[in-house]
Amino acid sequence: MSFLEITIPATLLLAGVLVWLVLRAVRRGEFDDFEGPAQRHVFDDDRCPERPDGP
Amino acid sequence: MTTAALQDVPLAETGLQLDGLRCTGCVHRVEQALRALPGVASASVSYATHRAWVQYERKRIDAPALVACVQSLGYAAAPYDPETVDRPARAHARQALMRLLVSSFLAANVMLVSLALYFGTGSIDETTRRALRWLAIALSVPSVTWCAVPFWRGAWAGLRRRKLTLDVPVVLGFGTSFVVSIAGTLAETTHVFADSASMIVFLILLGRTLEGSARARAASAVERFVRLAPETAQRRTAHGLETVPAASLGVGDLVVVAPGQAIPADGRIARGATEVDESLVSGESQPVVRSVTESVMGGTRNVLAEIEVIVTARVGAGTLARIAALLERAQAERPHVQRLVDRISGVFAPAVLLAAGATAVAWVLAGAPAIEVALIAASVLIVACPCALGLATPVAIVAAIGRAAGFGVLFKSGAAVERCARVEVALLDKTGTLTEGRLSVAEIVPSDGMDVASVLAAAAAVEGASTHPIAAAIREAAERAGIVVAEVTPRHVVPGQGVVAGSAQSDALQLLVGSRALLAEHGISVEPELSESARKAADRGESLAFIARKGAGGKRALGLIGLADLPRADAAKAVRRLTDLGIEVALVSGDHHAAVAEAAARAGIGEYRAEVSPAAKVKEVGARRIAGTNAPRTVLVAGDGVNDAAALAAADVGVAFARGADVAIHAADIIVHAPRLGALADTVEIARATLGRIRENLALALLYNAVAVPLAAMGFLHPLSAAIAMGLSSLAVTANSLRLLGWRSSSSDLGTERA
Repeated sequence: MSFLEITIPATLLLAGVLVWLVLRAVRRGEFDDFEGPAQRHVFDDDRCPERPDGP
Repeated sequence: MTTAALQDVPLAETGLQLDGLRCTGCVHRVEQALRALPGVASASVSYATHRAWVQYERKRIDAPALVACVQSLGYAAAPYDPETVDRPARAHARQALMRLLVSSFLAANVMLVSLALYFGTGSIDETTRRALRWLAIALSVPSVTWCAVPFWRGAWAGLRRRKLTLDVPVVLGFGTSFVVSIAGTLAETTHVFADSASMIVFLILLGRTLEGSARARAASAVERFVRLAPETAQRRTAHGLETVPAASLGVGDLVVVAPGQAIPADGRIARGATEVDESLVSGESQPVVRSVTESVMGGTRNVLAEIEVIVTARVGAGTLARIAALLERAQAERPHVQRLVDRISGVFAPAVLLAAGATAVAWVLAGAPAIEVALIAASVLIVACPCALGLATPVAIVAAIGRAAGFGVLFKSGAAVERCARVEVALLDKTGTLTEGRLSVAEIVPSDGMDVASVLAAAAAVEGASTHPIAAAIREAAERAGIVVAEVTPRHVVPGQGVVAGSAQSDALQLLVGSRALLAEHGISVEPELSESARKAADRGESLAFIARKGAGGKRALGLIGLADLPRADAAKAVRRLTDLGIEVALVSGDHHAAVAEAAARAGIGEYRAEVSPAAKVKEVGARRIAGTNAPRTVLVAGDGVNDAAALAAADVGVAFARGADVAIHAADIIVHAPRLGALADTVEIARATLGRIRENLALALLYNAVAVPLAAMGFLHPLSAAIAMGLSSLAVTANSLRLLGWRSSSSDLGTERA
């Protein structure tokens, strides 16, 4: 079953990257407010809004 | 806004607690307005927490100007320190979310590997099988360690207090699964439960995160009320007035209190005379007259005219502080009621351990090899692990808290829902709870030849735009009657007596609204019929305002307006509903006997006590708890004032109305912001429905155990069937709990009012 020796580590690596991305998003506050951002674009004009927790 | 240009300037930052945001459009308006201010580098508003976060240049703008900007848009705002308030809570929430996400990822992957092992029995060779097992175990490692930190902590804290909380069987369950998986892999058996370990951690984390976020939402709504309270004072110094934090006032400081503002600390009036609304502190519903050299209490509200007050006690040592101390003591004395799920796990954990031990003994007696015995005993522990038990309470509580918020009731904690379901006695405060908490016109008695509308119109014209409670009540009645109010100037206010409007020149027409003493001073007599009506109204506890005219056409009393703090429109119905729920209802108030008796009669409450001090209220709670029965009864206290705070804390369930004092809102377990007393009955009903649901959930979870544990003990249990059964019982419990989202009150007037 040599293909497992390649696919499993590859999958784990990919998954690891995804988990890291999600954790980074949490740390940056992307999950702090679930309601506001969904409707925000309706009111925003051309300028980019700041992130909810600032820099 | 050019951030680059501001980079060299040191920026200050502040948080603003906002209120009145109705939609994300409001969020946008506030953000835009703040960003447009000179000196503001960035501003962002969170709709979820109702908080703004602003970076600004200290030299060009200050926090009060930011607040003023938001207020000019019609929203309430108050600054707070984001460092102490926001960051710790947010960091905690984020970490919980990270643990949940990581554990969900691990659980899914371990399950995937395990499924391959379960189903690929014939087609996978032994080397690969072993590799996959070790993979599953390796993936569970972070799950049972980092993700499970809250359970390890909880179990340890519980054990140190010699209590078997739910964390203990949880840790036992996933811990043994993990150890057994390693032992099973080494011994080459089918007993590999790595998937159970990570699944248990994930499901129970999910339950807790849900409960935590529901609680955090309720708590942030509560904080919104509290943080908006003014905590500043206007201090008079040699250079003029300055705004300082109330806590920094010292004895001897001179503060200016404008009409409508709260008096920041206990003191003596140095200049001016006014009326003070002490209802939040003393429960007295009528404003009292205070003039020079008389003392005033911190936390009471100045309603009439500007006064200057010499502070006689620091904020930390005054009347409010004494009540706070009473409150703390009451909180400490409140009996600790264990949550249902903890009570069950207290029996459950030893029972499971016993079952596992008995299983081991039986198999040893039957002559099984040692490793086999250990694995079978461990599978008993694992299948018994209370996944469904862990979800049973949180999901039901989340659904209930969410549903209750829909009709204007905020539960501060899940434990409050459970306690509220057991309420047997309800003690209601009068002012602001049973009643609206403000004066309204109870009756209008015109003298001969006058009619109700013209008496009201005259009174409203004299009172003008005053913030005095009597003036507000008269104005409201006039508005409701559709009367266009004329303007009369000049107005002269006589504290404690009333208002005289119109020029003081000898022949000019003057209108008066006020006490009998005011009329007497102006030489106006009151007709006997009107006197008789006045006497009757006073007996009912109403306060009276006479309306009179004086001028070229002679002096005459035009009529009389009786004012009272009337019970809420739905008070009688709500009291009946509470009684129907089997709850003993009593009215306990600090107000005068006549007013309390009248309110009790109007609301249909048979039992009442008047002129009760805050300390006596606490005693009353204790007395009712043990009265009549051998088991202590659960007592609910509903109130809104500072004088209720200690009783709210002492009660098993404290309910505060949202317009009440901060300290009451802090002390309570449940905040009601629907202006109906019926919300109290709804609260008890939904709490009972929730407890019912929790009981069903626990029964379901235990049923699963009753089936699975004997199978495991006999050595029949395949890990796959254990995993499937565990998943099914968790799903059943969740689905059963979510039914609460569609809960309906027994009363039909619910549903029209959604918060």
